[in-house]
Amino acid sequence: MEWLIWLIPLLPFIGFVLNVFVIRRERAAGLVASGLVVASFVVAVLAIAALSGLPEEERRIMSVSWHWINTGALQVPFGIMLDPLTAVMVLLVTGVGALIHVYSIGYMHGDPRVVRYFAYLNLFITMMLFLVMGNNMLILFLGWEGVGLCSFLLIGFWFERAEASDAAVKAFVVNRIGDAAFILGMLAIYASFGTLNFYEVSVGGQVQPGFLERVPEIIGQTIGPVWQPIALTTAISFLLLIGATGKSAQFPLFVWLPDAMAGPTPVSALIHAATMVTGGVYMMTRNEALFAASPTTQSWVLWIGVLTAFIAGTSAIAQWDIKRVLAYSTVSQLGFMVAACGMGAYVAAIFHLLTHGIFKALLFLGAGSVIHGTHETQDMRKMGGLRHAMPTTYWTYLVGAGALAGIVPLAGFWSKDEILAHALSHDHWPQLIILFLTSLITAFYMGRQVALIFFGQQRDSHYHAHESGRVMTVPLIALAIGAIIGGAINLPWGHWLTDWLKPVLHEEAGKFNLALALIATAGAVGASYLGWWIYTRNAAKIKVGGKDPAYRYSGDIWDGLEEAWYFDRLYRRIIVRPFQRLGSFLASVFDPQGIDGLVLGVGVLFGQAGEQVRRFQSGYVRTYALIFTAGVVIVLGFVLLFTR
Amino acid sequence: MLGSFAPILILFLIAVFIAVFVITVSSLLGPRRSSPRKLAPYESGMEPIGPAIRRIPVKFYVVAMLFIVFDIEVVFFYPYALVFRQLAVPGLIAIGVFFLVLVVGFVYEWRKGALTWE
Amino acid sequence: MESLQIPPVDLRLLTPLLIVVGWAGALLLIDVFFVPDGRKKITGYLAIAGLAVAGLAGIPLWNLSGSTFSGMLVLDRYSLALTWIFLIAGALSIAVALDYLPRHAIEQGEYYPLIMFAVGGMILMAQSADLITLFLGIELLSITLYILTGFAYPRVASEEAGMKYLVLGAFAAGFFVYGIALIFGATGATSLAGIAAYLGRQPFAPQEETLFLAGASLVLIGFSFKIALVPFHMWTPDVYEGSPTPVAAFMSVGTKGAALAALLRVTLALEEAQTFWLPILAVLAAATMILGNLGALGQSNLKRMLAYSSIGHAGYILLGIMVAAERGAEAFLFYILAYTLTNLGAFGVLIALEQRGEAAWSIDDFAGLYQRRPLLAVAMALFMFSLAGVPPTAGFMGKFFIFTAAYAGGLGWLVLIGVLTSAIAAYYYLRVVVKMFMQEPVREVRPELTRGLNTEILIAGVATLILGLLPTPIVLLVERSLVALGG
Repeated sequence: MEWLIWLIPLLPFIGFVLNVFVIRRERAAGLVASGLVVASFVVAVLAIAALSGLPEEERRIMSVSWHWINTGALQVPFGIMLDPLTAVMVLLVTGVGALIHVYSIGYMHGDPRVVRYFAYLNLFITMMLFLVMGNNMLILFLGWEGVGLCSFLLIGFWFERAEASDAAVKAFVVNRIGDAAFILGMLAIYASFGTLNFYEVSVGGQVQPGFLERVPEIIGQTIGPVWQPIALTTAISFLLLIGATGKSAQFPLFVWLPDAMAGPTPVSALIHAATMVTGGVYMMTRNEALFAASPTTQSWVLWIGVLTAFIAGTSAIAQWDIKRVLAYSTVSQLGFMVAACGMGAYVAAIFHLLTHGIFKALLFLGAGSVIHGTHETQDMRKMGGLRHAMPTTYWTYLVGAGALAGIVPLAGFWSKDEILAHALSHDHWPQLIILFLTSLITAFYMGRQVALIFFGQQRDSHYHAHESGRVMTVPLIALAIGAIIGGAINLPWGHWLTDWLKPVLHEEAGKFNLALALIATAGAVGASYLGWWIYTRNAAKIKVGGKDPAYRYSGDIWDGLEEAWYFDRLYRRIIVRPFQRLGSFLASVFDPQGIDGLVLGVGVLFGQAGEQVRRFQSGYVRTYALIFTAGVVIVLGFVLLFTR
Repeated sequence: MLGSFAPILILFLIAVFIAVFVITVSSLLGPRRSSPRKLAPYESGMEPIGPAIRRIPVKFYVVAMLFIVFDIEVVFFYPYALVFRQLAVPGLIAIGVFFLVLVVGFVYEWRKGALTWE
Repeated sequence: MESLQIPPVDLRLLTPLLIVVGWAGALLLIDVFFVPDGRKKITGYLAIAGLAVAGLAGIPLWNLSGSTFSGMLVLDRYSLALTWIFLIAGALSIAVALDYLPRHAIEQGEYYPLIMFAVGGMILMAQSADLITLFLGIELLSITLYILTGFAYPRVASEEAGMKYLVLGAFAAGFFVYGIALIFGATGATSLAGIAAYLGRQPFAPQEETLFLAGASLVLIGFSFKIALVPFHMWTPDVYEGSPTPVAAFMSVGTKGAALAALLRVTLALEEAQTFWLPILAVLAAATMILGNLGALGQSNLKRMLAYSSIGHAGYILLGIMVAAERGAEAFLFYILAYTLTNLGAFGVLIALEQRGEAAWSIDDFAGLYQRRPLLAVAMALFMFSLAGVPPTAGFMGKFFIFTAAYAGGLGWLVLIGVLTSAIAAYYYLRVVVKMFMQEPVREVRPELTRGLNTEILIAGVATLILGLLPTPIVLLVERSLVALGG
């Protein structure tokens, strides 16, 4: 019966195949795509029900379909598994995914390439399921690259807009940096353990323990040069951490996510808020044994998370684009999760991942509804007073904003509080203070955003705002209900999620700190009220294309925040531009198609003689022979002088 | 074994040095007052007519190449004639294969019209 | 006069080689005598048939191994596996040319026998256990390629490419022969076994060692030219660009593959000289990976980009050779197969887009291909992802095998360079995908898909996917093929 779990990723894949090869009509595409993801969700629920029927220690269903790689030394099964950690991820991916598919039917209505859109979306769900269900690093990597590819395709979906295809390439390239580190980490794992399986797999009668179960073996081993030995666990986990910073948009690789908002809004909700970007957090949680074995890496993880949370949170304040606010807020919240991982509070990280997946999807879909209802307006300066025109969107958005700000008793409050409480109980004081500040900032910018969109008067009257159709509001309501009650899965008194994840993460429930909870609540309410109050009081001062009211008091700082601390500009200057120059330099020097730079160089060296030679030389064989000879001299010299 | 070549190497280096030295010095010190007449190539006092490089019909090359083919054939056949008896039948087969390859090439050339000279 | 002995000859061991070369010679005559102009496709089909027969004739040899011609030529599973790869490459290159040549008005029957001769040279290289026969193979391959490069005769670019390749090739061949001479001077042998035996008798005289090292370096340089390792790669982009696209496709996989295969055999046979090979190979590999991939970055001409990409790939393959003794050889064979199929596929798409009288190689001509020819665009995307090393494609598996083998073999820093450069490489491969899927067509380019081309792209595409998803059977085959080598 184990093979039944294959249905979970297979159903969306069938949708992908159908949408690519068979379906040509918009209506059929939407129905088939959504229907299959819903079916996948149902299968997932059934499978998880079966899983929970097993005794706690045996809660891992594994199914291997074939030997992906089978050489003497390296065996990688093409296998997937379902264990408690995977189960919650699968529920999130298929559940939120199904709602967003349904929503997309309304949102993408009338788009000329809608069939392709649903094909990509289905492929994404498949790949994301491989990512979270893979029973070894290589399958995880297959999903990891697959979701990256889908993300690339979907960000650039409206490629008529130049910024969309630029953003798509940027996302892919930045992610490749992380991926390179991930591959190296994978190679290091293979070299240290001889296997890439997470856990014990029995194939063809022989039982092979997974590397996560063998981590203690390598504690104390080091690699690297003698003068600077590095613990093996640190090296591996650090490489994986770099991989996670790419996929989960962490400092210093977070710059691609805000640009990724050029994709359709449901895509932003699904891929760039709820699921794909949490892949890094999932991966670190899965490899918790490796990370826990290296305190060095853990402190890096913690600080990267904290810094990202703060940088992105402050950047979110100064955005005008409705989606960019949410994008920076996503980066910031991912920072919270990563910080939780760094503290060793993996359950809290997963808890926040789940609640965030729900309420951030809600916010994005709400934003999509606003954009849809205002005829593709994204600049919040052109909005205002929309609560009358679109009441359902307004109320659900308010729920999402409250959950993100951390207002009792919405979902976000419980999960964020668990992270903060863990920081407090483990005496991570500096990190606690920064995270606490960030959560105040979060509340503030959500108050600002709600005020800008829904309160005051409509500042641009070129459009007539209207509420979205049923197919879009129903998913909003469903997600809003989730955002209200989602915290219940791990209340301080029930801690159901902690118990559920215990077979995987072996974590005790965190202590609830009433004082902290009260202070956090007061802060969240106060900060969001402040944000709301400032921007409704000053609503009249906000002009289309104008400056923020706060700009008067902060000036350049505000500019810096708006450009996310100038990281993009920094990268352009120190990496992108030198890189392009290097590329064109190499093309012009080593590639004589245009100008033969080397003859030129030699010409300068030998003055006139070189010039004369160049004039009479029609082909450049001479140059090639020269370089060839130089190579011969170098190789011969090296061998004869140094080899003996 | 290599040591015995050292004098040659030294001679070689000296030769190179002198050549480079003389050219460098003359180009550095010599005055350069060029006129069109000085730059013109010297052809025994005559005015040069036409370009120095002329096109030659490609047929000459083809014939030359064919000649090389038969040249090599002869080079092989002479020593073979000397050891013809000792090699006996296997030798005959081997040289037959060699000859066959040549014949294939020759027939191809002939059929392609490389031998016609109109 | 003492009697001369001709060494015993076992022609069975050379069956595929003899069939290929013999049939090529016969076909040359058949073509001029019986095949009328304008119907030269017949020659092409006959050539493919000959290659297929040679491949089938190789099957009974699987359990056979041995050497002949006084140990100058060997047959083992390694050479047989390579022979098959080369036969496939040759057949696919002929298949794409069937319609390409008439479309570009350069149809001549000689094309097909010439490709067969080149394949014969490659097989000879794979079977060589002696530097002399190795050189023979290299020259047989090279001389046919000089002609093929200049095959698009009235086109100046093609002539220029042929000329350049000839001049530089002769230059490199000179180094190679000189290296053989020096090695012979030092060791008194040209056979790999003889040289290895000599190396085993340490210590030897310092002068002989100098001679040997210089000779080995020159031989390595000769190889480097054929493989196009930096800094002996300069000819590659020009020659690929100028030569007819099917020839470029054949060269990108053929010459490279054969030279790498021979280099692998040489390094394995001369394991005693490992301490000498490794540092040079390491530097060459690093330079090749870095400069090959960086060079591709600035290219807007897809043919040149593929040329640079093939340089970069040679760097990765070199990693496999360096750790050949420890599982590297398997990774090497797998990579060669994966790369051959993927690259032939990519060139096939290029050929489909090439119009008569002009060359649609600018990357802009790929804009919006998805709208016009979705399947062709998907195939090209597959090849690009495979070359970039994205799972689940053949290219990813190849890279994965190579990197794991190299990492386990202690070449950590080269693996680092490899992974980083392949991350860079993703950028320029991706640019093609972006053009195809995310941009509107710039100008009208009508892809012409003919039967031969369709078949080739289909085979390459399916193989790229299968090697990525189900590599195990191939890996097992490869593993078995290396038993004789002791890899």
